[in-house]
Amino acid sequence: MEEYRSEIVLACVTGYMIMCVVVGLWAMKRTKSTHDFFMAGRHLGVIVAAVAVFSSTMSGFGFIGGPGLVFSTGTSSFWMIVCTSMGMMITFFLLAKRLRLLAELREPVSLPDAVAARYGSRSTSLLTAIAILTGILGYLAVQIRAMSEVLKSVLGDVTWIQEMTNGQGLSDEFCVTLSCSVLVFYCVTGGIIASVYTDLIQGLIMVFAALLVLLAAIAVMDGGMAEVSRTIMEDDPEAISPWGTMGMMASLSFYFIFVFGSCGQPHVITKLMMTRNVEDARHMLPVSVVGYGVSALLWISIGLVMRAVVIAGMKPDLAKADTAAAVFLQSYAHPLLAGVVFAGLLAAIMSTADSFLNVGAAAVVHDIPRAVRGRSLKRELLWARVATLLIAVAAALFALYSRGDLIGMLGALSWAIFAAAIVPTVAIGFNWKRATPLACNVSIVSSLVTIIGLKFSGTNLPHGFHPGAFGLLVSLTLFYVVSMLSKQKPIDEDIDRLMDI
Amino acid sequence: MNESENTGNSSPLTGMGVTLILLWVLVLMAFNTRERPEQHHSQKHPVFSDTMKHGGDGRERHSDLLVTGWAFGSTQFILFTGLLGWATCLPKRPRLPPRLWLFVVGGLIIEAAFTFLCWSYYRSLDDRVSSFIGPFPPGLSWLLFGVWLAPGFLITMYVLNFNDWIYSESDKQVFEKLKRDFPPAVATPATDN
Repeated sequence: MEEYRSEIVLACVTGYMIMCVVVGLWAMKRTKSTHDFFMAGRHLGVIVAAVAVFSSTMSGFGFIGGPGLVFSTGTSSFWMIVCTSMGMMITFFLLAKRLRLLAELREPVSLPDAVAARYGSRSTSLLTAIAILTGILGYLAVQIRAMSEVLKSVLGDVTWIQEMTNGQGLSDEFCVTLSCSVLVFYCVTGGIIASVYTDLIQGLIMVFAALLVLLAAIAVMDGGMAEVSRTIMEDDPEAISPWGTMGMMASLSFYFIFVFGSCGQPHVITKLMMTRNVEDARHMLPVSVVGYGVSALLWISIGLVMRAVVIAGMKPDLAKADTAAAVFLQSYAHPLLAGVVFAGLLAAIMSTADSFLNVGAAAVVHDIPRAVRGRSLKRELLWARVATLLIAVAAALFALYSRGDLIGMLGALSWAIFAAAIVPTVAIGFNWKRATPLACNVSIVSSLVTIIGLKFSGTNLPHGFHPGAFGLLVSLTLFYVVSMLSKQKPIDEDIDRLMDI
Repeated sequence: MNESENTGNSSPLTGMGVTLILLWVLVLMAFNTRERPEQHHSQKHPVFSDTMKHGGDGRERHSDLLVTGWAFGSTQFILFTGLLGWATCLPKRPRLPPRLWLFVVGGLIIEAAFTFLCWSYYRSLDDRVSSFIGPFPPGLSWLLFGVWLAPGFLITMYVLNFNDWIYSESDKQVFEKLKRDFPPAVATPATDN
């Protein structure tokens, strides 16, 4: 079977891609209105919604960038994983009921819609939409780059493709175009319905793949994971300490962003508005936490094992840290397992990317026109499909021409943009009547200016403190202070009564 | 429009203001602690310098930071569990605060795991080959099996008490009445400030 490894992997990945296209066609028949396209008609059951929440959270950043970060910086990035139990808990305690009730009362089709309902302010809704679009372009580019890395690895080993390309391998442009085509097809045709049902399949594949990878990883070195730890410790004890090579303050700043960031991810919290009943949140929380926890085992196990085998001389150093997952699968996984896991990698990436496309399209065709002109576009469904395509093209170009950072680091930055811009306005403001639109506007603008300013000025904060954590602290503080100092704006009576529930 | 009399439980959020001040103080203290060695956190790996980073000497880079870092982490846990308790106690219910002590217990469990993590790391600076807990050194084990799993207590509470803490029968009735009073078509469009 080993001699057909590349063909088996290719067959698994092709099968998965076809499945996505079929789901897109099926969902197209069920998508009859803008509300269906963006909100799935609020018909999602517990399992579908819960799996969609965790599979959208665990993305290419986690499955490709995560192992790359562990390979490169040791255990520092584990703080991005362990935060999820606390992060999801905050998301559900603060937002699940609140957003779901608001969805039933006002029927918003997006997060900025909900923000407009809460604050009665078009400028706050507009700034929320702009913050979402800014984060989406970066995060979507991360997903597309990760997809491209997976496809290059899968297709690069197939004999007839090697012959066709004279051993040069496929170009980045080709891999990006191919992967984006499938993604855009099922998102354009089926909207959020296609997105959440592919998320369901993708989430199950991710959990299954992560468990199999863990077993394969344990078997790589005699002595299992304990030997992996010892090997890393002999080379650098700090790399296997709780802080990794990046140190204590960097790790704790990751924790800060990622806990708060969980309830600032627009593609995740929007799904809380799509469930059938408010009570569904009760069971969604544990399912989402466990699902994410199990799939994160892939991040941990591949990263540690690849660092150890390179240190031990069992493998040559990697050309790029981001190839850790792909090299592990090609080297240590049974061909069938490699096929399933490569499909799982694509699943993780696409389940996040499709949600982003949907949320981004809502921002472009629904939220921004409503905030600027006071009304939606005519033929909104058609324009939503066009916007989905255009956002994918823009993100693909960004992915192709913005190389440099590790996928994991770019993902962390985009996560931080969402966290700093959205958490005060939504997670705190939807529970606190004293919050004012002015405070929201100040916090959104200050977070974007701080994070993007620190990133592009190349400023490194002391002890590796993440700029996103700094931006979040700035935005939370300004939100709190300005809310306390500015005049409280009257809240619509229905929203006021809803916030008392 | 309703000029709300209730400002949304401002007094519990005073705690958030205090916690934010504390976080700023700790972050600025850390920023003012000299980085040793004098370079940006991760160092070049002596062998695999292109792809892999090296942590360097843990005592050298963390000895001045450990207490500040512990306080920074602990303050985060206070903020997070405080927000959970605040969101649960938020609605104007006669039985406020609802079993607030359970949130204190939940917070203490997480805090205990984090403190053991810091203590294990501090001890490991003298004894790098100490016995493992499971397949990992003690500090990392406290992270993966302690800090990661500790919120399980409050998640269990959420599941068990959902119909009491989060969305009760009376909440349902209030919401049904709200829907009757404000059908979706009546929703007020957003204006600007």
